[in-house]
Amino acid sequence: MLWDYADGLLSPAEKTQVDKYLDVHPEQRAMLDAIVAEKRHFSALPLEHPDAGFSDRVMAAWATEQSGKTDISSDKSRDWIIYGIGGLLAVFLLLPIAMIFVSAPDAAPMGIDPSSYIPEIPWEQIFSGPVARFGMPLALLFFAFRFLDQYLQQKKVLAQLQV
Amino acid sequence: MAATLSDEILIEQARNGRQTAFAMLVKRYEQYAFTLAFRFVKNREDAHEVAQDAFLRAFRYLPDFRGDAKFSTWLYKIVYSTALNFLRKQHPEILSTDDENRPVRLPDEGMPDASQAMERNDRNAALQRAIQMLSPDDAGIITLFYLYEHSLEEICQITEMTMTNAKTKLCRARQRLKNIVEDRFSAEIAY
Repeated sequence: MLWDYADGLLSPAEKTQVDKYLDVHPEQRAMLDAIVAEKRHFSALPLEHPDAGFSDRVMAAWATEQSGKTDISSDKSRDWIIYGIGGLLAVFLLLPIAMIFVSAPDAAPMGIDPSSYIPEIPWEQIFSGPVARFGMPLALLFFAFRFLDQYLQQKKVLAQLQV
Repeated sequence: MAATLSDEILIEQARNGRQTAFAMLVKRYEQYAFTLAFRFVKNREDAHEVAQDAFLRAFRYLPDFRGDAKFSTWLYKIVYSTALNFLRKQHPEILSTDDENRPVRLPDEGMPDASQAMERNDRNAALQRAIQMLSPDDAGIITLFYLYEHSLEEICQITEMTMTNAKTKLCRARQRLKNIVEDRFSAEIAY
């Protein structure tokens, strides 16, 4: 109770009660004084000192983390380039198909209503072209590496954040 | 110059990306953060790691610091949780000493004829060692309350305990510390 009194943990009513008690028990008052002295001693305990250069190490770690973030943001601009290449490839693949459909009314055989004519898409021709033959595997490889890179980076960041 | 700048100004500057402001905050709080970490993990090497991690987390989440509490309270909360997580990873068994309940004897007299600095140093060292023998959470709450002079409300913010829980924990920690002091360091620390 005296410790709680010294620590200021008592309610006002309890405090008044203890005050009254201490008025008639001087030996308990002496004990309280000892507790207060002990508390003061606690508060005066010296702090532990980290090793010299601790703050420099923290700042270096912070700088490293920040530069990592910059790398990631520059990666984002790299993403646009990658998506651009992917988009271009898609346009090259889809353009011949679109052209076939656009020119379908003119290419309709005799006796067939040009508006309902569905032309046959020359898949073989499209996929044997240089864009599809070389571009597609390259693009797929490119995307695979990109996603692997992103996954590994994300894993690294998560490991750093997990404390 | 560092001493004249308030935490608020440094935080504002740090939020704007000024490295010097970060460095000043580290310098200002490194001893407090390190001491609290040391009380938990009990060795200097791990305390360095915990304190560094805590500072990095604090900087990372500085934009989220709303200023409702003091910066120190917020930082100690991060140190506290970082240290607890560290201990949970390293020694899951170390945080389970709450059931210990030894008899307590109140001090019966003041410090007799307190003499010189040397004696005070012995006393400090003994008290430090006694705190080191406490469980991490006991040592943490003793450090926050007595050494850093945080109120119970602030301790509740730091530890996320309820007021009743924090009060109970503080009383128990205090008793355990007293028991350790009386059992092992009575020669150095005379009550």
